[in-house]
Amino acid sequence: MSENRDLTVVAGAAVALAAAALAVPVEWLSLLLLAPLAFLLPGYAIVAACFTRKPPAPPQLAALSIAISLAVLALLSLPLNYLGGLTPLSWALGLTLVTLLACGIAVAFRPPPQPRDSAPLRLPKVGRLNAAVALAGVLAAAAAIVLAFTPLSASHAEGFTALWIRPFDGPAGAGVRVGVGSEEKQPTSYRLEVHFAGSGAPIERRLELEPGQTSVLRALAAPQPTPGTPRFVSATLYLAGQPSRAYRNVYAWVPAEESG
Amino acid sequence: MNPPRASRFALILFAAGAGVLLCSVGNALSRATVEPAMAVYLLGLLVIGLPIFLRLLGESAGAGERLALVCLLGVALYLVKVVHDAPSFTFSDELVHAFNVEQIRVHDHLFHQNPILEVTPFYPGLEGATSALVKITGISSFTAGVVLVGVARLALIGSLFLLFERLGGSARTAGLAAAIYTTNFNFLFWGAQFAYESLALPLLIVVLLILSEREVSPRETLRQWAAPLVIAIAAIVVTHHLTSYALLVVLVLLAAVLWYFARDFSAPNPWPFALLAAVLVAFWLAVVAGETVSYLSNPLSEAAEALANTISGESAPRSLFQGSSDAGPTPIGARIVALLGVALLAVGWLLGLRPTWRRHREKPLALLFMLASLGFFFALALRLAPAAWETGNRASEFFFIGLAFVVAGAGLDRFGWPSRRLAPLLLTVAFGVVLVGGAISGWPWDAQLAKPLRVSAGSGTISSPPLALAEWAREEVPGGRFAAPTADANLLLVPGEKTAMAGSNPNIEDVLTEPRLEPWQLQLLRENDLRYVVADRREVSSDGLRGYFFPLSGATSFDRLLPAGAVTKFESVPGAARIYSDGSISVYDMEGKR
Repeated sequence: MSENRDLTVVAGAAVALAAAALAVPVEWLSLLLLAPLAFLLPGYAIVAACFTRKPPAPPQLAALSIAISLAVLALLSLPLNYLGGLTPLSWALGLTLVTLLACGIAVAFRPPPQPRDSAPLRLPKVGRLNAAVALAGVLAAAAAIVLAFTPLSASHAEGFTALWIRPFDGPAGAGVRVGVGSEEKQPTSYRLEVHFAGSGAPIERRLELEPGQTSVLRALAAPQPTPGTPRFVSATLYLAGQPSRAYRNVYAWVPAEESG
Repeated sequence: MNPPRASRFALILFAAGAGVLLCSVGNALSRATVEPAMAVYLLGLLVIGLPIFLRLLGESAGAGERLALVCLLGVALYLVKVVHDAPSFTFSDELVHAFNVEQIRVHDHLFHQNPILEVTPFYPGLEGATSALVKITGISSFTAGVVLVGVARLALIGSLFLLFERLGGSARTAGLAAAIYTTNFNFLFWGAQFAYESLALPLLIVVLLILSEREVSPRETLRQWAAPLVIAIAAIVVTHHLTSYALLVVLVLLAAVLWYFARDFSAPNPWPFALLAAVLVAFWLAVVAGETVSYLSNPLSEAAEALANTISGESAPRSLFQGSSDAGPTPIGARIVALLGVALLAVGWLLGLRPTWRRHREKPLALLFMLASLGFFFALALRLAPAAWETGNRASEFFFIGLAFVVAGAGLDRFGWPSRRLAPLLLTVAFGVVLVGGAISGWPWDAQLAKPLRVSAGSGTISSPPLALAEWAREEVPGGRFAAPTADANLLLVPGEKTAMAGSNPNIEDVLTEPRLEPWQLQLLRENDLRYVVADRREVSSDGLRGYFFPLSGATSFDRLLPAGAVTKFESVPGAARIYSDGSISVYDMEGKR
């Protein structure tokens, strides 16, 4: 079986990687395990099944393996769509089956082993210094990506505050949830007033929010709305420094159709 | 004993990594609203590209190293796009395609409706492929998309090198041609985005590679190329409409030229594959993606009309470097670099056409490339017609394959002016101009760098107004269909996980911008079952490239506001509730009183 060692490895790897990618709960690790199965093995196996007598030269083989794997990914979604859907299991099974099937065809049609007509592929020797310099380049690229994912402060970006209102209808009665989301760049103090039409004084709440923090006030309507007569409710937000000037205002009716 | 020295490849790899880091720093400075972001970013591009091109010009590198170098160039330039966007998609089309992936994630099936680009779910190749990664590993559609397009880019640049090598017979020229291809206007951003063409174009190049390999294969071995060819053709057909039509044209032309040369339709004439492509394209169009006809016919007929009007003088030519009117002009220096880049390409083309013709005129694919190189300059002319510039811009990515082949055939490796020693340096500088010029020509100047989407403040992180809206909608509005300006709608799709409509068909645009409420507007909202209306006073909210970010103090593009009536008019609708307000953006529930 030495002439089919590559296919044995590919078939075994396909099964093992599919199982491992499904089983591993860590996303990035699962992706690392899946990558060869998604981007290399099906294409390699298909090319091996097509070129049973003499495989393409290594660069062509590599390019075709990757490209045909991409094509398989694009095409396989169609049959899976009609065979129960695109689920983790169906994808893993689909990719594995394509690889195994192509490996099977390659094994069946490969001629008996012949003397090698080309020198085996040899990887170039990499000295320590070269490896260190190359690694530094890879680390620089990795640092670039980490930097891109890191939120930075932006002196010219203008912060803001969002006020929202959502009616709810729960077992204890109908009311509203009023949220204040601070996207300001510094801690900010507010006064929130929620007023149900037909009731007396508004419900009042003082808030101090850090940047990125949201506070939600849950208020039952008083008096409760009667069936078919929704009750108007408004929420007004004031900045602590400007107590008489409404900063944000939202309004709704309770109960609305949705429940919170 | 001499101290050990690092190999050139290791040093070039280091430079590429450092270049990507510089680009990331440039983007980080831009997100932090600090100067000199653009200078650092452009320097990064040069640090990536110049050492690789210089090495490719030299004689000493072997074919394997040249292949590795162009792959490094392709991947490093792709990372420039990644560090522009992370940690989320910010290009309009990307959010539309990411929504399709999310639909597959939720429903386990393809072909779910897309409210903004209706045609996209009918070409599910990209999203289907991405769903494999998303489903099996649980990663986000952003990570899956970035990885998938990255692998596709690698396939593109590697296949392009091998194609040029097979066709031109020289690894040195092939490396230069592949490097020149990376300077095309769309390589850096448009072609690297998470959109269907980013997968289809690499597959098209693989088809060309297979055809070129097939052409020189012994007759008895031709059959073995058939299955890879069929698989790649079918994958293109289900992935992207325009690329599948380009593929069909290429196959038909190749079959015709080969017949002309040989007066024979027998193999390796690719007519059976042309026929297959025609059948698959027709089938897909007739049975699955019928909407493509109207989707493509409008912009293409508008482009043709605009071109005719510009030629006849009925309408004024479009000015070059015309991005958003609010974003400010492209600096004069950048314009000069971009124009110089095009001029250098034109000179290279003129110098390369004759030797390429002399050497390769009996190769059908080479003839096709020469024709395509001419097409590039036609596509360039389309940029002068107002409604045709986008068509020209997109077509240039295809035509550039031919242009790169012809320019590399100009004898760059034999160039000896002003001296043998200085010539490579001069050519490398020219490459730098073309590379930076291509970046400037391909993407608006003000959008080259990332803008603040999430900002670190105190101990937390804050989101831009449209992003905060999308995050709120995801958490607080179960279900729900939204009418919104383009940028808000795109973010409501992803990460908002909502159905959001935008644009002019149906005419959501006017509903959201006109200061007065007209009966047709309410009727349109009712007909499309749009319960929630996002009224955004920021004019930039209708811009699918610039509307996602924090307003910046002193930036005119963010200062411009629609008339207050465009927002407040919804308060007069009986039963409407204003359920969200952040100062510039309000959300109205048109059925608030039920």
